[in-house]
Amino acid sequence: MQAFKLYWKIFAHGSAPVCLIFIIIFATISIFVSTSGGNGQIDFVTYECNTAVIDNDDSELSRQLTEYVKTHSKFVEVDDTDEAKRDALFARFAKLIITIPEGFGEKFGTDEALTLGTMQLPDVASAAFMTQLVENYLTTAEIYQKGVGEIDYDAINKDLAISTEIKLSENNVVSDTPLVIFSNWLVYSFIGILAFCVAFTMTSVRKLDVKRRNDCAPISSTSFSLQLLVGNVLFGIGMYIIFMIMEIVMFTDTFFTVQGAMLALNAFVFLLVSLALSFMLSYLVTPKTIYAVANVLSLFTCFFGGVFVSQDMMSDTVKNIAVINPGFWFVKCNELIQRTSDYSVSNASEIYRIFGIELLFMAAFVVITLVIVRLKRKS
Amino acid sequence: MFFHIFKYRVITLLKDKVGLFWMFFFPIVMSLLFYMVIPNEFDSTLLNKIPLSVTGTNEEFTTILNESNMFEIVDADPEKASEMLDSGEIYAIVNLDGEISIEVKTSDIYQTLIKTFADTYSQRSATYVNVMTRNPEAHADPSIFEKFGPYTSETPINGNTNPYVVYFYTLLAMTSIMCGTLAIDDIAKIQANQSATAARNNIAPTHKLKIFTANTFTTMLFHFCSTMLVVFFMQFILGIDLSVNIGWIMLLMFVATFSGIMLGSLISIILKTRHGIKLAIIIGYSVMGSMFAGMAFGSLRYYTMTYLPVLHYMLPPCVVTDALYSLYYYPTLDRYFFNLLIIAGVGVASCIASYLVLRRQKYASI
Repeated sequence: MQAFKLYWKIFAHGSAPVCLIFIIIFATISIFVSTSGGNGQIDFVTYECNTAVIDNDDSELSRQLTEYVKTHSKFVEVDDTDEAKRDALFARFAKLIITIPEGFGEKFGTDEALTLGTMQLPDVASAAFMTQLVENYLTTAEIYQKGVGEIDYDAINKDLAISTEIKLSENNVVSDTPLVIFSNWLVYSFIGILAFCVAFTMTSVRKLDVKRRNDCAPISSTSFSLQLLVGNVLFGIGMYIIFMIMEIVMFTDTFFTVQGAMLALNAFVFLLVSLALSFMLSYLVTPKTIYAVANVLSLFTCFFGGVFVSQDMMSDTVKNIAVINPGFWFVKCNELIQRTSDYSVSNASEIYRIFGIELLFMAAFVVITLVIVRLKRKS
Repeated sequence: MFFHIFKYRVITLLKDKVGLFWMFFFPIVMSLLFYMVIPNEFDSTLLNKIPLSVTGTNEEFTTILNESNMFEIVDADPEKASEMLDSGEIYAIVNLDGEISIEVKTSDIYQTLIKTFADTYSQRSATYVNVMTRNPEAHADPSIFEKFGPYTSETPINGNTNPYVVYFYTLLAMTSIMCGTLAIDDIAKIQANQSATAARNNIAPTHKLKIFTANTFTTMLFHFCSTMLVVFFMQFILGIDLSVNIGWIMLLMFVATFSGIMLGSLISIILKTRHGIKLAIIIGYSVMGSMFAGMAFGSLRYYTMTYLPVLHYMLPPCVVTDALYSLYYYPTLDRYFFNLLIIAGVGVASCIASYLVLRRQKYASI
């Protein structure tokens, strides 16, 4: 077990601190992004526009209107300064900001009626839709004011609670759950960390002087390589366990379900792909270029995999390029797992097909590595 | 002597392939990735007409639907309509037999608009019935049911509102701060306990500060030029509208490069650890900063700035991104200069701290 011990010695003295830094950074980013992600709804959910209301009137009408907006939008708080409002709009934190002027309620329905001030991004459908809702509320209020002599808020709320029946077709589309988002971000973590650490250790033992010395040792080349391989696999499994523990802590309810198990299985398959890719990479890089290659590779797999930008938003051209990226298949599989409830082979054949594709990627990387090893030995 | 050091540092930088990669090729490759993958459209813009299909008959509703001018009713039998719904050619199938019902494929803005239209139809009918019941005389006064609104008036936002460019800003911010990796080499060449070259340099009759200044100046100039090449690549080759005034971008990149190098120098001087770890710290710091600035999730910069302002100002890529954003979005330069001052402050503070640690340093044993 000399080579195996050597592996961990190099890891402890070489890449461990860097690995720790990367784990902390990747985990922080993944947690931040996944916890601010979607909800994975499967029923129809009315689109809610991010709306802020600044009530300078504080009348009964303005309070009731604000309540109505709160129940029909994703209500957000924005400071009443021009800069805060503009920042919130640019970041899409708020897509519509309504300012109710002082005296609005008092003058409502009279000839001196005031209008609500709105700030919104130009031509954004959701803001236009929300403005329509506000207009509808105030129209109803004015009908009651003119028709029965007062604004009957109970009647308005009752009228506006009438809702049309809506159903989703069988091939509906759902948004990603936080667990799926976190799982997708494993591409960044696995590739980024494994590519660096595996390449770092492997290039260290492959330095010419070190290699010559090792060749003299009474240990066969096969045994030496196998021990290093076991070291790499164990390191990968360690990484997998760390990130699975994070998932368990953060998403306990969803992790211990069949869907959670399938996502974990997919992550494991992708871990094997990442290991094979990192192993192949270790034969192509030099110690100086490890950082650069690991960084570019992890960002490439994420951008072309649908981690940073959803696959639904990717153009067909990009998707056609992305099929050569195992990260693309991993993310695609996660999203299929999310949309499926019955994971039997007959019902979820596409998921198992993608598992197969991922394993084929792994096999391809192993074969390429063997070819490289052979070529290098000859040279 | 200054020019001599300058000349050799330029040659060294040109021959450092890894350094060139980080300074020049990495941001170019990344900007190409951004250009190809990130969609230019972030919001569903209002369609002239939303396509939908109608089954069943309700003359009154169909008339209102047509008159609204918001929808395009696609003529299709139920089977064809289902296919069109699946393929995304129409957004909904409205069933008018009995109670109005709607079939959609997903929950999104256009589906909600269609539902809201149907809701409003039913709600307004209920309101009329209610008012008539409570005040039968209302029937004789048609003005009760007409001439409403508008109740809102829009304050226009002048300026660019596309968050697409922020992704490129984060990249420029990361590049400018990541030049700290080059400063590791600069420091390794003057700190006798960090490299053999530095040990030799230390016994040469040249003032240590002169070597440091010349090296740092060269690296800064070199990196600034490469950053500007990236800026021009984005602006003129990729056609990204970074800002109307390239001069302000140049000033910002110059200051950010200075701060990045000084920050890298300080980290390199203070930490008595291996080259690789220093490199990982600076790369990690830059990458983390640019992630929080919105590289992977555009709105993250807003959340960081609003809810974690201390973190925002502790991460120079966030501040650089904010400065570029303010140039793009705001008509005035107040915020730009505020951010510029912060970045310059970080650079100057790091520079003073580096000088204080470097000066008169003696080595009992290396």
